[in-house]
Amino acid sequence: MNAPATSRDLTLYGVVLTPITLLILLLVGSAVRWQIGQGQIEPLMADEFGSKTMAAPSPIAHRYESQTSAAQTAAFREVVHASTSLCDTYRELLLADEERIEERIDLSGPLADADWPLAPFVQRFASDAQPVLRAFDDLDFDAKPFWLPLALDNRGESWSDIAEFRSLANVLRLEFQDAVRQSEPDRALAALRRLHQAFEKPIPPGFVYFENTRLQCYRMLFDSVLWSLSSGIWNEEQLQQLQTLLSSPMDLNGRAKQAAEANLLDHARWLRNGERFESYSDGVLDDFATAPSNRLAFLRSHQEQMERIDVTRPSRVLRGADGIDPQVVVGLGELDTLLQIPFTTDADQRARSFSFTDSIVYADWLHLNRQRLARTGVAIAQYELENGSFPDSLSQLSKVGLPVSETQNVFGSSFGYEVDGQDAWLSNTVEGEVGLKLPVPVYRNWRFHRVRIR
Amino acid sequence: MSSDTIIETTRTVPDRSSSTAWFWWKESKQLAPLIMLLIIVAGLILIMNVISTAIVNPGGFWLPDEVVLLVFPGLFATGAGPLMVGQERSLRTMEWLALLPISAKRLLSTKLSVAFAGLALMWCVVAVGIALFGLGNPHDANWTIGQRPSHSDNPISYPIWMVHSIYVLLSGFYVSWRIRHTFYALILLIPLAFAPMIAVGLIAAYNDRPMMSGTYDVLIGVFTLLGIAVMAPLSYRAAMRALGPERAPAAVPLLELPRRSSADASVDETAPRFGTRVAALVWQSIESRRGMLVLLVAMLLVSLLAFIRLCSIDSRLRGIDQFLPFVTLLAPLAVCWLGTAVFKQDGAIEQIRFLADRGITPQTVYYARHAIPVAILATGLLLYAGWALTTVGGWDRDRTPVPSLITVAAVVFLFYSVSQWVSQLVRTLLLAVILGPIISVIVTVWLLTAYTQLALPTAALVIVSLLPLLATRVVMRRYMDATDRPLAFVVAAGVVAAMVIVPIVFAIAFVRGVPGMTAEQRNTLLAEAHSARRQTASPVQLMFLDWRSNAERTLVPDSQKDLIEKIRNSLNANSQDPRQWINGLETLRQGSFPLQGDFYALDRFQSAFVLHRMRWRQDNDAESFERFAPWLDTASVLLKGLRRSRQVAQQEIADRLEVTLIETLRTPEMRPHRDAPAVRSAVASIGTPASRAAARRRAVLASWVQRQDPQSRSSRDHVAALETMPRGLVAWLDEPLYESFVLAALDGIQASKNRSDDGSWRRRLHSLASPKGVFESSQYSDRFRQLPAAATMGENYFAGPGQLWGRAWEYVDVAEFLQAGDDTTSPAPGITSESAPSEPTATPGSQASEPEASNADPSGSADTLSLRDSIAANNQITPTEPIR
Repeated sequence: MNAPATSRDLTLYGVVLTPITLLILLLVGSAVRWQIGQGQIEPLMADEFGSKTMAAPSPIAHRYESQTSAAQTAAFREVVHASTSLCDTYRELLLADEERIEERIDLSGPLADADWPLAPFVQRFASDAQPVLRAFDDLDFDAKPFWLPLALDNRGESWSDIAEFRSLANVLRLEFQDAVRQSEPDRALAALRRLHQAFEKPIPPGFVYFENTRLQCYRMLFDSVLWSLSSGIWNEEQLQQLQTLLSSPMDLNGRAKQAAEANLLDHARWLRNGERFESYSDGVLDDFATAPSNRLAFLRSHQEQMERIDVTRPSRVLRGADGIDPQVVVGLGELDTLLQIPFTTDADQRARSFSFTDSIVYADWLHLNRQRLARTGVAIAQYELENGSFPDSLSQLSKVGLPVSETQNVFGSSFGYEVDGQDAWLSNTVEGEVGLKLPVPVYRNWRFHRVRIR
Repeated sequence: MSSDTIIETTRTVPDRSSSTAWFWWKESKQLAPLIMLLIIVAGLILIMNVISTAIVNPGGFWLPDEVVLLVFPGLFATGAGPLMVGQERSLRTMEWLALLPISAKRLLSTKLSVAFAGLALMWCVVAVGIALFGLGNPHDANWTIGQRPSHSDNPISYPIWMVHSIYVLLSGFYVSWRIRHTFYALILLIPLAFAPMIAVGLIAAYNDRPMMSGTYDVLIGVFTLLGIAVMAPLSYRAAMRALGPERAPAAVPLLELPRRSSADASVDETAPRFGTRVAALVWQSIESRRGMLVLLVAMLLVSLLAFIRLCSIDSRLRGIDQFLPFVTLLAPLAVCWLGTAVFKQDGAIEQIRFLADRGITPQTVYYARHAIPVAILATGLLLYAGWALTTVGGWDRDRTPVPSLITVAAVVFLFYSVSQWVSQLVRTLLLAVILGPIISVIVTVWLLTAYTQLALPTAALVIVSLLPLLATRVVMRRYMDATDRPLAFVVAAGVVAAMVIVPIVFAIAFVRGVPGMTAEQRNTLLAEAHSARRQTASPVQLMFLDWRSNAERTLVPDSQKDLIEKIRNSLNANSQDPRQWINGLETLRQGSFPLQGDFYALDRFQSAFVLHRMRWRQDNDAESFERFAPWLDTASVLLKGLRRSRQVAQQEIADRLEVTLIETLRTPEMRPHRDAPAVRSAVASIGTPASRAAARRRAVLASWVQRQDPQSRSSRDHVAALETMPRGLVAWLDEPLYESFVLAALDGIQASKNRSDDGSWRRRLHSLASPKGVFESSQYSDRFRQLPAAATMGENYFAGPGQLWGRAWEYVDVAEFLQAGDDTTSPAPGITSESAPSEPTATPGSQASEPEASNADPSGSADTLSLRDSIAANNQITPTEPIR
């Protein structure tokens, strides 16, 4: 029969039971934290996107539908498909054209060269493209952006329609090139307006991939303008129209934030219940839910990303190898991560992170930089026409209405400029700057170093 | 062997002139438990292989890896010494043997001879096994024996494996002679056994570069031989010392005797007093295995520190860090041995008998013996959790991820549970120490595999994991009374059966939960499917011709002239006449061949068709129509060919092409050309709901029966939902899922044919094509189906069949539209706003006249027959001039 417990007994019991009890409490506490965290997510999402969107079976699809209209979808797809066919036929020409852009430093040569051997093919391409351009002109671009059948939140959703936009951009670009070579400035202006129309609005800021594609296509407008400045076809009025077109305001920060929000919304199902649904994932461990703390950390990192988005101040964004602080994106120190199977962090957390935000901000920054470069080039041409000579420095372009800030790259340094006899040379001083640490690769086929202006 | 047995045996063994035979027999009998252990392990591995294969790869059989066989001699070598020496010590027969008129050398030599003979036998068995089952990989072998080709891509060659096993054997004897406690001897044996590998690893770490496998093998051999040279004399000396007389205590001068006597010391060292029985038992369990517990706690801590270090490294392991993964393995070993220590340590059995004799309840003893190991494990888990909460591990797949507490706890629990169960089942400490980790690993791997890949529910996993603990609790009373056999084995069999059968039962239930066909449905449809599969001709492949030579096509231009030439040639190759562009077109037109194409080819053709249609519509004159007519004609030939196909994907392509054709024909601009041959051909190719249904049905059934032929089946020929199923059950779920698809598709085909509103087939197809997807935003949704087909159809990808079935385009009457007056305008599907009516424009009468026949010409219908009858023979088309 047992005697009353002595202090020695109690000590021994304490030594044995304390760790066991603590462990049980830890597991119970983790489960409670899991439930609490789970309950916090839905209100946060509803605050961010609205309860109506979050109540939809597919929030991202609901959002996409609210931003778009299917009224012209068939017609728009027809234009894009026809463009793709045209580009397919002329693929060797387009390849040669892209290689030319990649390798050359002075891009003004072919437009000034009357015997440029690819010119007849470009002319033929432009001729074949006229039906596409006419169909393009029948579209109403003042209406809502075009809805595309993306089947969001489903396996096999395809963004090939988005990828085919590049075909349309190539058609418009070569049309412009041919117009300039044929010395048809009105036709060239019409091509530029189409470029602007096609890529200013029709693609809603649905995803980062959308936005990157749109900006990449839109950059063709700036590049085309820069190319044309060595042709000498523009008169004062046309240059002013060019300047107006180039100055069209575009809320880059707003669009970048919307794209980032779309990325967040695309993960709504995972955020809601931790379900790891990836369109093409076949991982064995995908059946286990992610801990609410990791998901909440992801939401917090989204807010942090939103604050960092500022196209005019790229140094705020371009930090670190990927711009993402791991400790922000995971639920470090949170009890419920102890219950996440099999690891404390979601192995795909990085893929879900907003490192894409850096890529889109970088694309926006390229856009802004190229826009300024194009405006500066046009202003130089305007100045020369008005005053009979090129300006001594870029600061004198204020006389034609271009502020000094617009003659600088996004880091605040002036673009390169020099006058050489009859020609002026404008250089992009940023994209090739040595020592600039970039988080994403530069799109090398659109780099410019010098543009000649006549 | 007990003393009684030895005496009995001595009396009953026939008198021999030499006692060698008797010693050999005695030593061999001592090895019997070890042999039994190895047989059990081999049997377990074989059984698990059979079960795993039966589940995952029905009809197949996975042979164990050769390394599994190669480990057996190593296990034998590890256990032989401790068993032959340690058991003698624990049973106190060593002293009795020392009294016999037998020299120590002879005792030692007999033991070693028997051990070596056993080892040689093990190697013979392994060699037969490897040869019999054809294990190893001769093609990638990297070592040779003389001139003979080698047999394995193992980094360590077979000869070195053998030499190493000899070294381990000698080391086992050495540690057993040197250290009385069997457990500590085994602990010391581990680093000794791996000493050659550690030495080679240190050399590699010093060089900081990977070692060639041949060099690695040679160095292992060198160090192993060195180890043998060291261990042999050491083992001999240790044996002589152990078997020889003990040294007499040194004489101590009287004046140097301590003032206090040993009797006084014993008075001071009385055991502490406890008020409760449980506390006393817990204290006793600590004191009786203090050294073991300290050692195991040290192993846990060292392993934890090694793992922490490992997780902090985000690059290739260099130098001494390369040993970290091996050091982390100390933790699972320590957990197993904590479980073993519950019922096994030196003197444990006597202690438990002692308690039983004094009426201590089994429950009290049970919990008291588990208390300290569980407390140690709980502490370890708490430390681990504390560290895991402060570490960002697993950030990406390049870094060592940090397993969560629940994951680690589950594995720890399984290891501990199984090991303590093994320690109660097995009589000797040595066997428990060896067998515990092995069986723990097997059970843990099996249960976790079942959990992750065989759809074992979490609750079932928890319950099955608790069974070993329950088993030991149930048998505890009898175990205490030493009457646990055969009940222990019966209970053990039950536990094993539950561990094996429960996951299988759940797996079967999961598979049965996937609805397939009933036997009746299957038989009926199979008969139709075999009939559908019969084709009269081989399919024609849709290919685009490139008239350039291969050299022209692949030319890398190194001059501008080359570039111009290449561009010109490519433009010539892309003919503006589709009849020049597409291979096999005339064959298709003139015969009944089915067409086979892929979505990429379709996309190219459709894009080109759209471009040329655009040109015609904008110009809208006779000349532009003449240029467009070949495209119309080609599309109709392709469509007819596609409808003849017995493949689901081709019917999907046909649907897309037909939508485009209908969209083209049902425009007012086409009416003036209704009598043109190309238009009549196109109209004739347009099917009816019935003809399309027949073609689709044939394709679905033929595809189904075709995939049952292993030779003609593609690795991608499965329902998408299969990829989200438990991996281990894929082989069992493939057919039921595909049958589900067939049934859903047939329902959809029927509903489309009858213009039924029942959309359940869409949800079923969606769940199979886009598992975990959202139906409301999919191509099967009402939203998508309200829109024109041309606006929503994917042209260059296939995300699931049936997305165009039963939509408005199927019910339009193109012929009627074209025959209507010029003042009647109906918007073509696809080029309309959202307000366009989604109701089909076909009249009910036109559908009622369509023939109902499964073998009817897919392009036939009552109305279009009149047009088709009047179509003249195919025009002869001359190729256009190439572009200069």
